[in-house]
Amino acid sequence: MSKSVSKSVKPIKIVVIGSGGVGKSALTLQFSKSKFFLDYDPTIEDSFSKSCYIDNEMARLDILDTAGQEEFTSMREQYMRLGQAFLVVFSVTDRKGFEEVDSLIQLIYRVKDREAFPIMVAGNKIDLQNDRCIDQSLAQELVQRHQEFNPYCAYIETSAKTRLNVDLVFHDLVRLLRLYNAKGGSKQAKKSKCSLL
Amino acid sequence: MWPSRRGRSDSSGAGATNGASSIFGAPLDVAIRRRGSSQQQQPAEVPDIVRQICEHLSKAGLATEGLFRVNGNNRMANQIRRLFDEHSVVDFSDIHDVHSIASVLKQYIRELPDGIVDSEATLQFVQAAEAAAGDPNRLCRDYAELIDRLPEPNRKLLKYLTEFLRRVADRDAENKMSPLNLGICFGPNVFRCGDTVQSLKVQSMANKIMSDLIAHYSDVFEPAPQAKLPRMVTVKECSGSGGAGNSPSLRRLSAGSTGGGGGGGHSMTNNNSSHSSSSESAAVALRSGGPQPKPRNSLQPTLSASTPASASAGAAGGASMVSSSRVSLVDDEPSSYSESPRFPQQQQQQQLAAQQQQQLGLLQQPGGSLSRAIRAAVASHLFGAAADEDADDDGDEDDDDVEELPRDGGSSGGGGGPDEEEESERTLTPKATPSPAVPRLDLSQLTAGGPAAAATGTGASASSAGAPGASGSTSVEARRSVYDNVGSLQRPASAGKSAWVIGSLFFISSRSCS
Repeated sequence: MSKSVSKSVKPIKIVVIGSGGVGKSALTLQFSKSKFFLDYDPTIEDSFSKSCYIDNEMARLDILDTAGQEEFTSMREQYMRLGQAFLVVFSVTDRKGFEEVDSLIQLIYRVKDREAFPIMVAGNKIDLQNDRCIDQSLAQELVQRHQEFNPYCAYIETSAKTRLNVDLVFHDLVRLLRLYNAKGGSKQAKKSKCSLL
Repeated sequence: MWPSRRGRSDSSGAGATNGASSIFGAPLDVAIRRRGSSQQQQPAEVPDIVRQICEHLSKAGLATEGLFRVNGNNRMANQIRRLFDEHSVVDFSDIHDVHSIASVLKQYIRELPDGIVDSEATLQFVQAAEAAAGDPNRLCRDYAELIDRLPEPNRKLLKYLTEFLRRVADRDAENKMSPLNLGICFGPNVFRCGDTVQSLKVQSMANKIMSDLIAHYSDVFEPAPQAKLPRMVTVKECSGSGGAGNSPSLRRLSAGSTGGGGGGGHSMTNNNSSHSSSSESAAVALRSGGPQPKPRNSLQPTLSASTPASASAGAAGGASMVSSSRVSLVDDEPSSYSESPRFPQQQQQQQLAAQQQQQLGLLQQPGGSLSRAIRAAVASHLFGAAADEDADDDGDEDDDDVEELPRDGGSSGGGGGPDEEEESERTLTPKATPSPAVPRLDLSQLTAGGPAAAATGTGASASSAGAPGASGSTSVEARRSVYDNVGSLQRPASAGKSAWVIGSLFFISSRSCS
């Protein structure tokens, strides 16, 4: 028991990224504080901590909520290095945010120097069905392209406003990370292995 | 290190690679001369690209939710960049995505070689913001001072941009972009904060400053006509009296310049009668609006400060500044320091501290300007104690010196006005002294930055007027004693370093001998 506690206490660093104004903070705050905030303040950087049981196993999540604006991209790679799992958010009502998803995932691969990494793509704001311009199939297609070489990538549609799938998206990300760690992904999937050793 | 996104967008941006022809990344003074061939006569107020985008967004984008917050389409933005590089006038009629256009504006500002406010001036803004936190009047005044000191193209661009953002913020019910939000989106573009760890803090302050500038646009950029007074004169606002105009003493002080009572009548604090009632009346300050660029290096880095003199420390350098700082030193804010230890001796200590601080700064080869500012604050905190003891020893001698200094500066800088002002002060100061004993600078009553900020305000003038001979010995003494204090932090490292250097030299020489 004591062993499992000490093991589970180690926090999981989740980094939430995505374009500006897609609802990263709303999603994070809905998950960590169970509230939908109507503020429209651009985030620079916020962090939240939450402990929960996922599949009967304790998990402590350190969630880093980041800025979507391009002004803050200089910080992007710094926090990407620290992240163990990534939640890439876009808004189904915003085509540009969706177009950024792919480049963000590529950036994760590059910064992490891995071809596979736990990445959850969240299509947010699906309560705004009338303004929707990104179909589910379009997003699925994108994720499937990544799944060909990164099995730890998935897509979920969410609504921070109605709390639809908010818990699921974070929990599934933790599940992906556990899977990734169980398969020894952190050691095996290194892109450029030193051939001398 | 991976190439930053900005770097990539630079290289992918059309024409960005051949800097000669691209608008993006060109210095501002080049950009304002670059106009359509039809109107070559004189440089523009602001770069054409900024004017065109702002005018278009004013027509088509002000109601767009998340304007400047939501990222533009990268491809579209690159297309617009190319249009601007190729044509002097861009037709936005078939570009429907305002976010991309807004992105181009941000990119343009971000790619200006030194930003609108370069890193040195950014630090000064941050220091002013920290020093004047919670006092909007002073904040606006200090910002205006610093903006006055920016190069002309930068100042005009900042004014134009802020005025536009003010109009965006006016419609925040529709576009949800309050001054705060706009400040966060524009702070990193307008101000240059460096790439170090400390810059994160500077960055968040810069965002706040940008928000303040937008929120208080008219106070900062378009001050009331009263602005023709000498640069900073501390006056007290009499509650209740309305439209009294200038009091005679105020007019005497302003020495011929026109003044107008903007928000009710003002009476000078620079006489003993109003001094007694000063605790009830709120201190406000008028500033002159006329742009009088001053040498930037006259401003020393200051940290957060609470003493009134730091208000002038934020804008030190001129002769009138020196005297006005004296006014506030003597008269202002007596409530928090009811023992009233602010007299020439104290000021002299601060001057000493400033001098020594400068010397120390030279000795220690400051690394970054931020760390230098911090070190200066620490040093002068210690100096305050050191100079305090010195003042006890030979206070009388130095007293004379201090009286010399501002007078010197006053006659060299201003016309007849400042001299008069000095006169009234010197007659005032001894009267206000409650006891003949030399007042001690009580460090416990001042916040950490207090002495540093106060000291730099007068320190600049001390160095420009030439260091007085009598204070030379005390400065050495003080420096030594401070070195004893600071040394516990500084010396082991430097001693170790020099030992290492000597050791390695030995090693090299012995190797070469053998």
